[in-house]
Amino acid sequence: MENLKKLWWPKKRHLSNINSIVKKHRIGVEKNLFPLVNAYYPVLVTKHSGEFRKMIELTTKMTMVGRACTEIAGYPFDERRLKISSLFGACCFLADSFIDDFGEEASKEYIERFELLLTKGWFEIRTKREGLFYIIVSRIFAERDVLDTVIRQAIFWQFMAQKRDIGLRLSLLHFSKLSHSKKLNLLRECGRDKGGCVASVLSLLLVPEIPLRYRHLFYMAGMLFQYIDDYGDYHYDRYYNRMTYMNQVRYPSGTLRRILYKYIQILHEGLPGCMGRDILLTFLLRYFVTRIEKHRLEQYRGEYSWTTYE
Amino acid sequence: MNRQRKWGFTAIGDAIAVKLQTLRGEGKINDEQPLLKLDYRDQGAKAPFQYDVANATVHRTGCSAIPDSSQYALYAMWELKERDRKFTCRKCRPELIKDNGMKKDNASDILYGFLSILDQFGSVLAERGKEYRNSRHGKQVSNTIDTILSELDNQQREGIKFAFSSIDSLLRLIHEYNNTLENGANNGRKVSLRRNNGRTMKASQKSKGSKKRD
Repeated sequence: MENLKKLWWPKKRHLSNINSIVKKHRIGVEKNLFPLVNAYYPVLVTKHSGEFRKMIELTTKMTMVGRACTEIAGYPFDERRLKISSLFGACCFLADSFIDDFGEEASKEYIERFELLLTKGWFEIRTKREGLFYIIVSRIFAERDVLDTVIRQAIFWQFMAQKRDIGLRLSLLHFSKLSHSKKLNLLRECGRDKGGCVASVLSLLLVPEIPLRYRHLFYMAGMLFQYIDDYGDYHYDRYYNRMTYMNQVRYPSGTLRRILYKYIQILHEGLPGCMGRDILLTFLLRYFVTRIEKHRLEQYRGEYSWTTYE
Repeated sequence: MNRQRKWGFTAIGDAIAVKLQTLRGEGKINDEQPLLKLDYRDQGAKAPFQYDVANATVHRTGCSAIPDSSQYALYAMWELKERDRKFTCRKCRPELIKDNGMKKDNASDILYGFLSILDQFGSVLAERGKEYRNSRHGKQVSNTIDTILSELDNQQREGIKFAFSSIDSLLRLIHEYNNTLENGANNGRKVSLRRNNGRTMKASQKSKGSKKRD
């Protein structure tokens, strides 16, 4: 109880501020992505399933995190950085969809093709959707020196974390032989690295010279987003037999709260007092609240779970 | 009606990026050579330090205190700054090293990068060159260059000659390089030349038929 009293919690002004920033960046993201998607894969925009709207929401989330990291590192979040975070969000959205939405065989094949792309630069474009993905990747590579030693390592580790996650999901690793506590440890690490790597790549693409002390904290913030996300997708993932730390741990809600409260405090103490820190922490808590709600609403939807959440 | 399409730099970049992959798909590029290699594991293992971003600790490479769970959270570091001293591992106690010059590309790396592009796309460029030379636009450009050359004074002509001779030397170097590789291949060996920054030039015994030179 004493600890909860000390916990940083956003004030009313933080919340109203964050809502207006989200709104502003959503418009900016759409302005960046619409012409690109419309030129290379227009079906995505016109699809009734609202996939483009999902892409915009995920990218807006990335942009909010990107903006916070940029300001914490002491740089302005200008038009170019908005463009980079828009491209990165769209890239992650499409890469995830290739791995998640086309069946197990396709997942395995995409992992092999992504590995070829990162180790040799070659990618066979077979569909318009893949064409859009490749154009987005090449535009990101044109915006930053991706051969910078830190950025290239971050990108490669992000891929490797994703590859391990798929390996666990498709039982390619010797996962079933592990004890329950070892399984949980592995899933916890997997979630940490997946989210942490995404936050690392995003922040380094926006500001390549981030001091070590912030890089660790951004990694932790990425981890929190991943756990919150997995909690929101709890029922959907279980329906499709996708194991995550959040859907395997005995008390997911309590576990998530405990982790969140612990790391919100660490982030608050470790990051410099600035607008960027307020944005990051307020947005994290806002995301937590919306995913708690998503978890509740999606309980009985199973395969029909395709609602777009902010 | 003569319709002209206006291409921005981004659209041109997109078109080139796609074309490279198309050429590879059509077998016109030898894809044994990497176009872009982001994997840094080989070079990273040679770095003096590793930063464990998950635990905020800088280790010496190979330190036994690096947790197994940090497999995908380790970043190779070539220098350690004063401001990062507080993150150093208590067990291996890495010492400060200021920039030791291993990190950045140097001029020879860039030259090798340029050579590898010429080598890789040589046949495609030569084909395009032939087509271009015989086209109306190519002939116009040729006439323009002749006009410009006739208007240059002696010193300027010498400068141009020098530039051409440099390019000529460079091309000879490429031919010599190719011969070395072909000889290596004839001996039944895979010849590879690896640079510090990860760009690789390779030639193997099994040529894919895209190695024609004009």
